[in-house]
Amino acid sequence: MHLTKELFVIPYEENFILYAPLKGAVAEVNGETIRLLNRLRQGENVGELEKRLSQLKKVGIITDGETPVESYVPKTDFSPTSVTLIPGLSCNFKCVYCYSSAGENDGKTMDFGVAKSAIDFIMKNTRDTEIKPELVFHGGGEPFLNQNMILVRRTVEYFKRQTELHGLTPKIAGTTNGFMSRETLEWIVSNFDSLTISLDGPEDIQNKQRPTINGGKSFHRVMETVNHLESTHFKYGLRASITKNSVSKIPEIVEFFCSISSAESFALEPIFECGRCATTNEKTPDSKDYINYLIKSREIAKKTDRVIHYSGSIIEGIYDCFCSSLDTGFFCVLPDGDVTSCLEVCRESDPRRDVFITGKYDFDSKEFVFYMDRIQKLRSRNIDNIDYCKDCYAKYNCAGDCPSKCLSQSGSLFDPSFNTDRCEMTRKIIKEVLVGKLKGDNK
Amino acid sequence: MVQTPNFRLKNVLIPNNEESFDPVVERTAKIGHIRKPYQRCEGNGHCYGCDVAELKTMQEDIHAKVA
Repeated sequence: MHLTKELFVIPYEENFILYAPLKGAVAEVNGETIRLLNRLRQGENVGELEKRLSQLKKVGIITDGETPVESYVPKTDFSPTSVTLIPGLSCNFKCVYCYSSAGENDGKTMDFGVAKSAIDFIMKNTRDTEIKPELVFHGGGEPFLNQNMILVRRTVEYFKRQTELHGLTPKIAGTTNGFMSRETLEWIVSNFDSLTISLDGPEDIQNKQRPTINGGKSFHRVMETVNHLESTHFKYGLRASITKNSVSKIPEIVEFFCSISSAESFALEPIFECGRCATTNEKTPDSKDYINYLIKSREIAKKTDRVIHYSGSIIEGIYDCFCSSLDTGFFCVLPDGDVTSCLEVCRESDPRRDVFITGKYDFDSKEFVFYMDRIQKLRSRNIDNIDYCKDCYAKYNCAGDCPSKCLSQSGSLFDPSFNTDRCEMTRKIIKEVLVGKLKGDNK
Repeated sequence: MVQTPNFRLKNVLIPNNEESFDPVVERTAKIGHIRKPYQRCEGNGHCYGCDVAELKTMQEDIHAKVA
């Protein structure tokens, strides 16, 4: 009898939770079972007591002879089938926590030649596969500003023509602040597969945290967008950024989302203090507050069969890498043709550029050039290589958390130890989810 | 110095009480997840929680594979 290699113990009331992430198994046991398992771990023959552990054997926490845990093997080529375009860094909002400080020193809209070459590149990678090529428009500013729409429309038309030519089904998505003309919105509904709208909650929260560039109110215009998407049955999601000031209103935000939207899940993300936070003094919510209110809000959401997501507590899968910049290599093209592996690193002034800018568009050859040494370094940042996380039970659920925030805070991609508050949040949420699973909760 | 979190079995010491030694497994559950070097930030991705619309589809894919 052997214990599965990746096994963690979490104190729970009078008992303990055993969590084996690689086996997808969880158990609640008493302290004496922990002692028995420790004897087993030390190679002791526990004789008849083995029978007491039969349930653990059934779920894979104990095995007869386990196959070794496979290490994560990073890819060596760079062949993305999805491209994210940031058409421009301008924005019609001036959100108090914006990581990109959009609306300041914004520069110009992307050249169509850059977008076209990016599509040609992913189309080449998609051929002879069953993967749907994907085109995503994302902010760094607001992607669907009028000044970007000639580029956006032309790019979508080109992408659709190319996929049709190759007999492939295109997938087109976008993220937006939801403040756009009706004409643009109707065009998106006709041409996109999905959209994600950033909306921070009811009117007072939204207007305070997400004012327009001139300091005006944004709520009603964004709600017009949500209502239109509802009336057209378009697939969309809502996500709210949570600040120290809005954390106590999480239950109210969730009730509001449930009342206005038919979306099945909502994302609530605590802000990181970066970008414009330096001037607005917006703060990350206290971890204990965030957890308490998040747990309350999940109960509210459950009443209407909705799910609340927080990026640090994904339990549906287990991961070796936090995001695709570390895995396949995220192909995100900035307005000037630079390729970034992180959406946050989108400005000339960002000190993290030497790590996260992983390529550029060559305007002479009209092709992208990639910095494979940087891509490979990012790929080496997987959970096997983060010493601080090696004995944490949430390691496969958070995978070391966000590398760009890690780099800016600790100066190293591999040292997330500065992040104890967020680690604490993640562990508490994972623990709560595990307890829920033990109680038969499938949400 | 920040302490590394440690939730390994060997780190949990339970006092010895042989007279009333009674190991009990109260309950177990399977989570049904699979290991995947997942693309959680595809530009509509994980860190900003902005791929909610896509997430369900991805979960369905995973569940289908598990099934």
